[in-house]
Amino acid sequence: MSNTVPRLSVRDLRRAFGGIIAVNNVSFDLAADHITGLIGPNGAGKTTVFNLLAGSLAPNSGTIAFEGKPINGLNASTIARRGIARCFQSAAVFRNITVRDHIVRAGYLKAIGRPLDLLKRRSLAGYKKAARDRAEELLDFLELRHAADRDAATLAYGHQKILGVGMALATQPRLLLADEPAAGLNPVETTEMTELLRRIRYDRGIDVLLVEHDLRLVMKLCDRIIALNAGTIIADGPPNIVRNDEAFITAYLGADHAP
Amino acid sequence: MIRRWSFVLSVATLLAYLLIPLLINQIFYTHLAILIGIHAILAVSVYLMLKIGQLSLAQAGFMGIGAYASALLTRDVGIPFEAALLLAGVIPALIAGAVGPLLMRTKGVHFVLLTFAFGEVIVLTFVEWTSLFGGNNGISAIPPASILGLQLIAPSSFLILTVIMLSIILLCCHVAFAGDLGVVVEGLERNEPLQSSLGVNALAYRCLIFSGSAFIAGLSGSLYAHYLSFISPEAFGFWTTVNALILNVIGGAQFLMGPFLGALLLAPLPEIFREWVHYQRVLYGVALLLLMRGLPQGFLGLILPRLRWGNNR
Amino acid sequence: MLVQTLVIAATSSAYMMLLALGFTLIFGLMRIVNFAHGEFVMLGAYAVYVLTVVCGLNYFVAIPVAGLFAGLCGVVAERLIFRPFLGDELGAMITSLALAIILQGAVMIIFTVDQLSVPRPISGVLHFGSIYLPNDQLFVAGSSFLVVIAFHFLVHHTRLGLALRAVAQDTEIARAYGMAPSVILPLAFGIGCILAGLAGALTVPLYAVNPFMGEAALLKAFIVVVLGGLGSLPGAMIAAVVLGTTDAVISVWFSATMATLVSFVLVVIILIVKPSGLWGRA
Ligand SMILES: Nc1ncnc2c1ncn2[C@@H]1O[C@H](COP(=O)(O)OP(=O)(O)OP(=O)(O)O)[C@@H](O)[C@H]1O
Ligand SMILES: [Mg+2]
Repeated sequence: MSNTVPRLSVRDLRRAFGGIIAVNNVSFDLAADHITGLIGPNGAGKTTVFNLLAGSLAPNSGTIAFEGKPINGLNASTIARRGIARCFQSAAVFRNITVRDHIVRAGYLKAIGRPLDLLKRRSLAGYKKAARDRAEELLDFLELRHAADRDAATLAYGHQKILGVGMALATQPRLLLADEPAAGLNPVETTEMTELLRRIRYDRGIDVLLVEHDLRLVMKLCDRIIALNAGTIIADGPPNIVRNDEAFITAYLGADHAP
Repeated sequence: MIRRWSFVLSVATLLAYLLIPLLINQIFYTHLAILIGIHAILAVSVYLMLKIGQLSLAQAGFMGIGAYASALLTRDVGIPFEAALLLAGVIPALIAGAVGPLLMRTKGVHFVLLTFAFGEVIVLTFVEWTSLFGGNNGISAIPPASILGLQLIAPSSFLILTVIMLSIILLCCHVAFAGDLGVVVEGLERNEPLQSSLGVNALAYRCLIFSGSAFIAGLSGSLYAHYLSFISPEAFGFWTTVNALILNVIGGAQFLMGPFLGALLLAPLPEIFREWVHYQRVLYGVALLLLMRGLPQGFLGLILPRLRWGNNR
Repeated sequence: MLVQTLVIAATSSAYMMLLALGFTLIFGLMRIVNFAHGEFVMLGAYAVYVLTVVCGLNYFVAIPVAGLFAGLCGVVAERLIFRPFLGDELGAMITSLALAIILQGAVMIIFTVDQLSVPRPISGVLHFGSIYLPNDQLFVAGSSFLVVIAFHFLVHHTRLGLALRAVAQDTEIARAYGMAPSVILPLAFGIGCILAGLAGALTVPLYAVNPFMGEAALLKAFIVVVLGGLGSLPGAMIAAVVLGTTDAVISVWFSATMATLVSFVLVVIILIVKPSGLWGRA
């Protein structure tokens, strides 16, 4: 199935804020088993595309299908339960809770996604057990085991971001949306994050859609790059092609983002 | 360990609150204790909303719906008090459940303003729909409460009912928040977008809490109606909710016992200093101001981290 | 009938504009939801009562004095009470509730809870053919609109107005251009309260005065401001006209309570479609 139906299929997506058209008739398909980079200068509409995909914003028009099924108009939580995860800048939300427990909670929250789910006590216990097992495995995968028992709020910034990715992974997604995962990280942490994203794609088989201003990282990591400017796609293809695309160079490298 | 102690302390406080007036056995003290209980229950309903980081000013309106429902159902329809008490919770909860998805789309200041207006609409409905609610004259001759055929005419017996209701409500909230609901609610109040991205339907949960808080407010209304045997619209206005909010602020809204503590401290004042009621109003306001200024990290500082006001839309 | 309704609509719109402009100005600049706004209306009304009935001053002289008095109280309140809660919406809200309680209590102590009234300074009707227009309502509508125009001029054509708009946009940038928020904010609060006080002063002869009159005024200001978009001055003006007109029409044909109910439903529907209000910044 995954050979014929794209993981994500976006058609004529459009969203305006007052007079500003943040996303203007954007269409693309994401084939399964890819890391795709979404790049563009500040204000190009990248975050807005993510918000539309994740259901935090409703599009003005256009359709989004995930594995062949339409998801536009669904709310964020339903989309999350369908298998699209999104990682946040800082993930330490719960008070006085360890890193491990953050991952455990992230793993079973979707089992109580709706109030009525609270009544299914029996199956919930099973879910929690599974979430705990998964958390142990994820702690190793994220290389956060050394910090497993620390209060998540006391983690260094780089580790907070890794925890953010880890909590997204705990929901067992098939597509991960990562908005600037390397922003604010030092070079060592950036390398760690790059490695982590690569392993998410190759070891776990989870597709990644990545927004990142660090072009070197994007070019190195992604199979495909979609360049956005002023809400429209100006280039789309493998990194070496997009790198030499004229529209891309004027729009993007003309700004002060040259690698 | 600390949790256990605070639990023991809470139970002890509730018991003392019940027993002291019963032992003194003077109507005035029993009367005060009943008022404390009714105010505390309303304050708990405000507390529930604060728990998800929202301030609802419609709570006294829900209390009014409960009061009128209970009064009319027992007096005119003739259903037993026990059923009326339950319906006094269920009806406001259903109304909150119906308007919740609309009101709860907004947050922060907008939600405050909308619930303010909604509360006013509820009171206006009582005033305007004279044939059903009796207009400004309200409803009188409400039958006394009775449980299992036992009429609770003596204030002391009504006090026992009030304390039982308050205890059940506090216990239910305690149990609910100690479990998975507590996890969801904490996440909602601290980082709703993240919580949604993990698969939690934030709107549904917020509506659930809104309904629950309306249920509790309705119960306090029923107790109020059957205790006084007379109700009128102005008892359920804006200031009644504000009062319940103040009980939370003074008591410390980070604890489930905060609203009760606030009621214990403040609810008796208007009854004790009856002739001084205007001066008391001023003092009350000044005290609130001083508390806000003098203890920014104190009572209020403790609830502020729970409230997410940065984003208003 | 139509013209009479129009006059009522104009009076009601103008009154709502006065209420809402002050409220939304204060919110837009300080993010303070001033629950005591209605009490400033009350201060204006009581000031007129004292000046005319007690001191025997001319009503038309009393109006601006009452407005200034409310404004002065606003400046003092901003400096003494609200300043520490800048940027703390809930704290400021509770503080404003405390202020409302204090002002109500003080008025009750001084004037008791009884309804007081100010004799109508204007009487008679204008009539054109079969159309009768009460002079006092025309006066309220006319002078309210004059105040609104003056306010508009202040905001758009004076240095102070420029500073106000700059602070509302971005406090830091305004500071960088030498507009000290510590001067601008109390002034803005004061101006908001002058508008409220004038609303009270102008309408005293039409409605009576009592310590609880603030709540109804607050509700009106709320509905208008929420509809227009919190913090938006043009939004408040347009929403005041929309709601003032519906309010008048429904009050004339049905009842005042029904009018309030309908305006509430209208606001809720609009907010569902556009949560930031008609002219709110998205
Ligand atoms: N909630 C909003 N309200 C109004 N305008 C918005 C909103 N969100 C985004 N915009 C506007 O839409 C445009 C696209 O913004 P977006 O955040 O999607 O850009 P981006 O590509 O993520 O930029 P950056 O690289 O700075 O993160 C911008 O002009 C922005 O001002
Ligand atoms: Mg962005």
